[in-house]
Amino acid sequence: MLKIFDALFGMFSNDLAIDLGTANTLVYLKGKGIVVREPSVVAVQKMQNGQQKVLAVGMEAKKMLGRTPGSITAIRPMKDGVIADFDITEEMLRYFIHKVHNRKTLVRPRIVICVPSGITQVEKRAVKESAESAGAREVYLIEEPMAAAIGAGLPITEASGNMIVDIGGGTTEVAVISLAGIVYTKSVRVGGDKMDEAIVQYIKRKYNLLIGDRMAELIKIEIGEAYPGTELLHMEVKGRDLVSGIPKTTEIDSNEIREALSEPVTAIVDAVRNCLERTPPELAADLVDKGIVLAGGGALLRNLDVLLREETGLPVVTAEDPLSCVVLGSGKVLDELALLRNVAVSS
Amino acid sequence: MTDATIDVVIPVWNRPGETRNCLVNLINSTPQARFIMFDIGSDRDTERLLQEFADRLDDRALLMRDDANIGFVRAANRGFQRSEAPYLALVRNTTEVCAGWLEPLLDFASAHPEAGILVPCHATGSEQCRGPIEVASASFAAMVISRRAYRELGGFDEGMDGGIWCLRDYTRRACAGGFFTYQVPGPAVSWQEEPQMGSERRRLETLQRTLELFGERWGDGKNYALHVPKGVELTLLRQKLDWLVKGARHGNRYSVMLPAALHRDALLAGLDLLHENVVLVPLPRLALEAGRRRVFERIVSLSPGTVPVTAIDGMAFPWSPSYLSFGELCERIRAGYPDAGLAVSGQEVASNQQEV
Repeated sequence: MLKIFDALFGMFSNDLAIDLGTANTLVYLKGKGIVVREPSVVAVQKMQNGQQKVLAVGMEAKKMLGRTPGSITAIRPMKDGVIADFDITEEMLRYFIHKVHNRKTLVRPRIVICVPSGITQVEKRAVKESAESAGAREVYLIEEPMAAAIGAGLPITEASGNMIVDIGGGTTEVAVISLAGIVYTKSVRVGGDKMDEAIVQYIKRKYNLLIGDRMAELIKIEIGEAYPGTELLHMEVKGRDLVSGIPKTTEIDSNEIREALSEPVTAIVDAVRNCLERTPPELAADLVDKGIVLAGGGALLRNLDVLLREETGLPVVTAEDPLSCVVLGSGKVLDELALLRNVAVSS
Repeated sequence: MTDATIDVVIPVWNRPGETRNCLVNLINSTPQARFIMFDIGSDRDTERLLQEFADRLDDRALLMRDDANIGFVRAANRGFQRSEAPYLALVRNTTEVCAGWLEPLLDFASAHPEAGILVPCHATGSEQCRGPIEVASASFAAMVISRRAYRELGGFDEGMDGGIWCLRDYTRRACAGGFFTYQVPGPAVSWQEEPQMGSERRRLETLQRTLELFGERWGDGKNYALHVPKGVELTLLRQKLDWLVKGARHGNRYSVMLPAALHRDALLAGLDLLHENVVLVPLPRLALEAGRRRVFERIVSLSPGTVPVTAIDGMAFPWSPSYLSFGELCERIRAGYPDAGLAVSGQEVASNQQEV
């Protein structure tokens, strides 16, 4: 009986692909493209009876980060690429699903959700159940590097080896893909967030200046680099002096940020090197010709491609739209059900 | 020095489920063995699994590890280097053996000192496994090498394709050193076909390079179709087939067309189990000349360039104006046995391994 309702509601729903990222959530609506690109942040208010009420989701909630009164907290329900808060994730998913369906009720879409390749069965199940509770009729999970490779336009169904490095907010996924399967993958819990944290710590240590996560992210975007560039970039940083306790402004340059980022960037380079070493020689030979494709927001870190080229000796290219690769890839498989069944992972 | 009869080398790269199956079956079915597990950069799950087995097996296991995936053939060679037992086995981590799989191979090897390489029967093979029969190549899925043969041959050539041509090369080197490769019937083992990895272009390049190297080293094998006329006796046929086996060891393939009665006698005498490249083909008993001719034409269509040979010198080959006499064929076979064959190939292989 329930299946009949599912099928009926399914007729009025549009299939979705969701890149449930640590930093941003992107939603792809079948036939329309990317319709939501918002931070994975939820603002919740604690009620007197102990229950939580969702006040805002996405961009609106992100603006509240660090600026909320005691009873309101802005939560990032995803941590290191996996669900840290099951209920809030469910609320966030429900919000996005209804948003793309113009707040219609009784929608039961088929959803493809991307998950990091290194997560456990329990974590996969949590994602699936969250989506089902949020109203999904059918949930398919696909691994992020696979989705990123499809989104970047790599020939994943061929027998040749393709290497993708997807640097997200919480994790970096390095994978070698061949014949529509992941031959080898390495997932490290280092990404944009760890870079921001490294910048916060560096400035705190060097200048006794406390800056927020948003400021750190801005610094990373404006003057962050992985390898020395041709020009030295400068930026004014505002924060609170830890000695005097009053707000202070100081100027930092890109050399300092490169130094600050060295630890997370080295972890990424090590993951790539590790993956290359462990790739079967037959596929490693292909990578010499085809090189490495970078995707994810972290791929936009200035000169990261140059550093990887220097360290591995392989050609390195950044995907056309690295931020959207994962969701575009999962959107593509929505159109090809055979491919979707081929690349979907069991939970 | 261990007291194991055989050292089983198992190169492992991930696939923990299959590896566990393989090891459990091997350990249960091969009590007299020591297991050399070579981990070529597997994930933590597989690494932990191998460690568990190694701990449990204690002296019966040797766990080796290389952080880089050096490939199956190099891992096999390095595993062989650490072996000490009178026999060496190589088993893929996707192979499943069953009880008693090894005994027929070892019994045959001890009764036939010239048997340097032995392969078991494949469980899912379409043809029923008969034999023992000499074969043109071993199998990476499961094979046994005698210590004497290994001492003479060393490891596989790492400069080759890591597949069928590498195995053929090994068999040819064994032949040159006086050791032959046999498939011995017994409890069958099962294995999965390994997926072909790498781009087609790259694979073609590797194959091309391997074929050139193989051709340079061993020459190209030829196909021959022999016509045995009526009246030839089994003893004479046996003598002729012995010559053909020598040629088959050099990569040639022979289709021997026999009168139906002689074919039946030959099967009863086991003459169809001399070498996989010497195939006995019966000529239809009641067919007209055209029907018999069609047998020859089918052989030629399957292997273009097949050379007709008359089995009895002085008698014409019935379906082709140009043909070789058996004497000429014997001359060709004899020419394929230069004295210094192994010495040269051994050096080449050693230099190839160094280059790799």
